[in-house]
Amino acid sequence: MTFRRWGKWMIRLGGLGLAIFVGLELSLRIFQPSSLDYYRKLKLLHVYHPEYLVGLEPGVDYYLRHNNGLWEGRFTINSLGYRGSVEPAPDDTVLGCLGDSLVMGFGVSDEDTFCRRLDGIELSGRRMRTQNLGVDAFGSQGYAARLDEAVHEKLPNLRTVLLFISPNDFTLPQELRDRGILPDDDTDAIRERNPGFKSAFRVQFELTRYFFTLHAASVARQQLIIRRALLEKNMRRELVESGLLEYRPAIDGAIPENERGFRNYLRRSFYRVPTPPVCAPNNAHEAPAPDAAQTSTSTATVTRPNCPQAIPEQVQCQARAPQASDLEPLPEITRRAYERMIRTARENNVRLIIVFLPVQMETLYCEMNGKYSRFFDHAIRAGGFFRSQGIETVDLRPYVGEMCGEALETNAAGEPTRYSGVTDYIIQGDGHLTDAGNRWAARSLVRELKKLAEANAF
Amino acid sequence: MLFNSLHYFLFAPAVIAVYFALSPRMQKLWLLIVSFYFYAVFRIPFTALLLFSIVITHISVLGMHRWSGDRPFDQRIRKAWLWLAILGNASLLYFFKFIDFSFDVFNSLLSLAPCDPMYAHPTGVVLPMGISFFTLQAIGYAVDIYRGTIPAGRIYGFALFLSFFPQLVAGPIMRAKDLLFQFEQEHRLTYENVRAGMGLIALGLFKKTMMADPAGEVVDRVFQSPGAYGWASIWLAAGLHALQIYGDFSGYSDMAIGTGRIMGYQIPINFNRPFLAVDMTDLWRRWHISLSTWLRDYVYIPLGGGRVSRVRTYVNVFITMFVSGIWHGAGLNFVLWGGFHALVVVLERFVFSFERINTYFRERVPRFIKVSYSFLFFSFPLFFFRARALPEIGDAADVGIFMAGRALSFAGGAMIEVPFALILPIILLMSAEICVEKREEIFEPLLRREAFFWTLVGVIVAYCLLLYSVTDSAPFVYFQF
Repeated sequence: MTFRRWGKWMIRLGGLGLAIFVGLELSLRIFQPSSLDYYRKLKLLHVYHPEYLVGLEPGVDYYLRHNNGLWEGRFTINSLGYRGSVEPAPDDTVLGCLGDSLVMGFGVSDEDTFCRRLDGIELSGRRMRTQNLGVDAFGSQGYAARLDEAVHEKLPNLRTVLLFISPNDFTLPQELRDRGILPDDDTDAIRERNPGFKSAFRVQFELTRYFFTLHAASVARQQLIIRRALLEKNMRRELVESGLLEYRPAIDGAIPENERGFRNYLRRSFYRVPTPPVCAPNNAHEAPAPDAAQTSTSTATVTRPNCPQAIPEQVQCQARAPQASDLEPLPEITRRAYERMIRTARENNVRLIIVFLPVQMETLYCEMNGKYSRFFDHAIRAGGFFRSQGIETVDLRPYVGEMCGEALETNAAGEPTRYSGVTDYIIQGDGHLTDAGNRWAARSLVRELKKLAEANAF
Repeated sequence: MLFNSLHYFLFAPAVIAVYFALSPRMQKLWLLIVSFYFYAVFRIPFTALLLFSIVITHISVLGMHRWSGDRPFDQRIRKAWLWLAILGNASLLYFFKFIDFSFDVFNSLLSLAPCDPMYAHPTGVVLPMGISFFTLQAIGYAVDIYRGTIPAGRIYGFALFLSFFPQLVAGPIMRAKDLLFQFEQEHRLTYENVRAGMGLIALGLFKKTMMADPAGEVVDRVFQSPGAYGWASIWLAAGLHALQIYGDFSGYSDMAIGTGRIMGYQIPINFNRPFLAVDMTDLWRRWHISLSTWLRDYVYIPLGGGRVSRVRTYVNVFITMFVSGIWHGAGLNFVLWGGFHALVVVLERFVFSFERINTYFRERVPRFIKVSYSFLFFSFPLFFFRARALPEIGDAADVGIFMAGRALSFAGGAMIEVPFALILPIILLMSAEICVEKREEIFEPLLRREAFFWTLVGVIVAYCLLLYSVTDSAPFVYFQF
């Protein structure tokens, strides 16, 4: 093929590629496929920020539906770029909630976030108005930059800041690290070492924000990594179940005995245990456990679960929590960010309170049973640092016991029709707080803040 | 493996690339291996059922071949061998698809309660993918050999015929005379085949991803809580479900035909614009053509077809339509669905047997009224077809009756929202079908423009690739049959 013909073909192919790109962009915008809708709205909620890379777009109002149906809710950003529609008045005394997606409130509508539920709290005779400074995927550096900006530019009346240290700020299980998923602070450290990162990130961010196609491709790439890992896991599971591969609990997790071996595999391929028919009168099978308190309602008999809930087999607990001095010191980048926040707070007369909110299932089950999970080490490490700097900390672990047996639903007569368990507070497969979880966090925080106010006036 | 999955997007090009790199003999072996792999992806042990069907049918074919003489004794033995193939495949289908339903019927007939010692408990048997399709195909093959329509071949060719992956799990239900000889031909990679195949695959993806899946989301909302919706929503949901299953199943068929076409195989069409049919008989001629013709050739004609008395013909039509209903699913709701269609088709035949009515209907009634009539009568019984048991209402048949009742009594309730993103593809597809119905080659000049054609194909394929990378598309509706 001559160079001229080759060139002609290249131009044709390029033209075709461009036409497909334009057509794809139009199709995505017109059809707005539901599987991408959540990701797209999330993208449009965010805006590039020169200091902390990603902030929230002021004035945006979306109704988000999680693509797997895990949650849905109204997501509004006020004119300052903070979650919620409430604007601070000039004479308000502001209480800021600073953190990542947990604080920002993925999982619930604006008015149901625990930060919003703290709005109007009276501490030492002063009524506080809350502003939610949280942004998803923030690490310690993001918190520090966001606090700086709030104090110096956006919230002159900011008097108290609750900083929620997230488990994934500087720690992550090895399994996730092996997949290339790093804690936020590690990611920030890598970015810090790369001088061209910010400009490259900006180009990538703005392009994917503007072009639906590029954004969809970026989401697809991330999802493919996850799906590939899942596929490998499922294929291995099928081979283990069929007896072709040796069962290794450390890799395969818990696979019951009756789900392993070739005979069981064959049986399970062609047969599912059918639901046994109910022979007895309709309500007989609902008899409560002997040690369970019960409430009878007009429609059903509701059994309160046995609290505390038993620790699941796969959760490992230990008898007591370690001392901060026994654990690895904080990463350098995390420490620097914390020092910056302490400095900013002190120089601007802002009271900084560090809050440790237990959200991992392991921590919740262990704490509920008076034990400790290593998943809470991050809080011990960060708490040790802040206390050594004279900063107050609030630990919500003592309130975990309330996650069992709370009446979540009642009938017209006010009698409970459903009691809670740990899983009612955290969105399974997502890790954020549910509506009940946000209520629990707000309730617990109010009590802790009142205690602090009594001990040391705000 | 689903056609609408990333797995298939990787599988198909790899299979086709290797296929054309092999010698004709090896091509067949390669197709057999990848077809079994295609089926094993659902669950490896399911391949044992496919193998069982292949072996039992081939044994009976060998028997028929051995006793191929003209003596009455030979013919009786031949028939016995045919029955082995029929019963072998039918029992496979019965055991995996209908056993629990027959227990239900048994319990209902004897009014048995669950604690009654006679009560037949459900077995819990799983319905393997595609079993309804390949068992019919195997029975058709055995009958064709018995009738002498095709010669008995080697097990190798028959195994490939039954397992050929483009049509294995959801049809079209192929006939040996249409496919078997193609395995003996040499197939080369040609631009025309690739172009035609990719066009069909893109069309199938469009129907499935842009019309059927979004329609399914709306339909599911109504069928999950029918009591909350008013009559207009329920009618709308039934109409949308008709479009959903059309997009879903004809989309699958298009992808199957397109995949086969790229490899040089001609698979006959399975849908011929059914929603432009002028009456229900016409609609069934255009809908799932491979099943309709299978039922015509192996049920209706052996029953006597239309060459018997008028009443007997009606009975034959009723039985054939009823079998079609039952084939779709094991449940009272499918019995009602099949029964309704059987009744409508019989009534139609009866009414149109009066020459004056027939002539008036064909010549004087406007086409859009005839099309609306058939669409309405297709959509209405879908209350039963789509219904699933709901604790607050009852089993699937109860739900179907409940919905039909609400639809017919103009019950009040909420109105469903139909997004523009769903309305647009429906309008596009239906408009295109109306144009093609008027003139088959109407889009030819446009589609002959290479740039336009490949842009269209590229956009649809890329669109679906992006979606399937993020999440799995909904499984094909007809996989459950």
